[in-house]
Amino acid sequence: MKNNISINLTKKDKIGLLLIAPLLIWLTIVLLYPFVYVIFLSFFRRDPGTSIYEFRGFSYFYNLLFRDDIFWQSLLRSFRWTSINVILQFIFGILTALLLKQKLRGMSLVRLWVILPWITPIAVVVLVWRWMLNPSIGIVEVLLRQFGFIEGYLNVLANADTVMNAIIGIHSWRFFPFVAVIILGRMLGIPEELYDAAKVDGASSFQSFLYITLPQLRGVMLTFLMLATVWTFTSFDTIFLMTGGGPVNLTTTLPILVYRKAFQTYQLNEGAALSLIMFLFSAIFMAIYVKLGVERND
Amino acid sequence: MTNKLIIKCFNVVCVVLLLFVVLWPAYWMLITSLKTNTEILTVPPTLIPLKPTIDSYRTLFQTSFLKYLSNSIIVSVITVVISTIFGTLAGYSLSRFNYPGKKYIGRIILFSYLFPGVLLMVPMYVLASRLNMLDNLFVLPIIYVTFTAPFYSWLLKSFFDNMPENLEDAAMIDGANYWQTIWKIIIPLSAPGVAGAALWTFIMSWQEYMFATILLSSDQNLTAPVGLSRLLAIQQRFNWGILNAGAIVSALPVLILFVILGRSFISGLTTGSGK
Repeated sequence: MKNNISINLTKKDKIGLLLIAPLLIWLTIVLLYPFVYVIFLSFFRRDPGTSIYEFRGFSYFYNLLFRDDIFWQSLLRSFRWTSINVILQFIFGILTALLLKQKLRGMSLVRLWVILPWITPIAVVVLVWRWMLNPSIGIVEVLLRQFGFIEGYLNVLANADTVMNAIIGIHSWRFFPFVAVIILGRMLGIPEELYDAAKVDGASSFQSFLYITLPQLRGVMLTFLMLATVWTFTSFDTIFLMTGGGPVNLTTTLPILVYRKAFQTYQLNEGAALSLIMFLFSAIFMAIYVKLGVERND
Repeated sequence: MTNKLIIKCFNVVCVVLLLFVVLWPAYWMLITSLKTNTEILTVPPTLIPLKPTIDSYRTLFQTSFLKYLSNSIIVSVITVVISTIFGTLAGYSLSRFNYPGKKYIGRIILFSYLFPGVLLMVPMYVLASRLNMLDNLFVLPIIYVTFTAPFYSWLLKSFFDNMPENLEDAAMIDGANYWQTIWKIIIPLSAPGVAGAALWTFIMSWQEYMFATILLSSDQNLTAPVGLSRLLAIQQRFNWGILNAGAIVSALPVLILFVILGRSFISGLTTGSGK
């Protein structure tokens, strides 16, 4: 079968395939194989004594869906976490891109360094925010106390009312510059003549934004909405490093729950089943955006 | 005219505000790391250290922090080298060749880039333990390349798409074969694209936390992000000056590279996604 195909390949085709083969082989071994394995693990349990795999059907999924309140809580929290984050990142991303597009002295330097939060390692970002939010000597609480906004200690990260919003804020703070730079890149590619023509026709700058900028950005925005949704939904580091999912379970999203299942209560198979559920949601998100993108491009 | 002036002032104010929001934590980190411990505990805090000192850094380097940094450098450099080889070749292949199935291969690579790493947390751990590779530093680059090489090849594909083919054709006419063309023409010309993509790869692998924390355990094997977060977890023993010094040092390699390569990085990012 394989030989039949390769007969039709020219020498150039073979070189092209040869160049891409290393990456494809690597992806098969290190991405596809573990992915198949996680599917396998969510249905089969390995007996630690005999090392024999035993088929468990949908029991792990059943346990998660019907015997575990934390799953549903975490799922809802994941939706909240994802939607607020994506909305914040996009609002501030677009506003920042519009600002960076202005011609001011030194703007090229601003465009470069605005991305600092995104290139800073997440562990560093978390450390400095935990330091600034420290209840007794962190600068945020000290200033809030100084100006009389709060009395006593707020302790943002131990407080059920504030902890999730604080982490959402920090996550969005880290990612909006990235969104801004991507959108800016596309904005700068819009031909200036379009704006000049609109100006001649008497359009206000808000109208230009609405009828020229936004439609031109549709493609890049849909792509990044999709990426941001999937990445935020599956993001682990920020929450894990800020609170580890606590206090109690108050900031436990699905990725944190996978960690807790697999590495704290040693229910590896339930962790695998949960990963698969997350994969299904990610696939649904992608499908929705792809469909939106295709329909509107037609 | 006054209207224009007002808009300009508004823009300037907004830029200053933006810079404050984006840069303040970095400034605060640096300032804290240079303060004495008594000054750190002072309320209200001082905005500029009264007596700048590098004591925090001295204490920091008495821990295993240099080891964490060298581990991180090893992991990131290996990841960048392998990603560069795979990414450049694959990007060139996707851009210049037209073999059957190319469209699907391109989609597979794009999909691997979108694939969320957290879904592999459980199987990577199980597989690493089966293969006796837990707590082994070199398992990290193997995983990281999987998540960096696809986007790397995508960046390089758009870079090659924008590069004229004339030079390669000229070399071919002069009798160079494919390999000579790739080696003598393509690789030197792709340097700017490679610089941006390599920096992106370095940033990604330098900051990676999840796989490093589940796969590594012993102190001498930790990477900088994991080491830093473990110091933070046992912060009773380390004051905030030392922790902030650790944070500065952990961010420094990325910052230095960004100063050198930042512009090609940003332009690579914007052209790579413009389509």
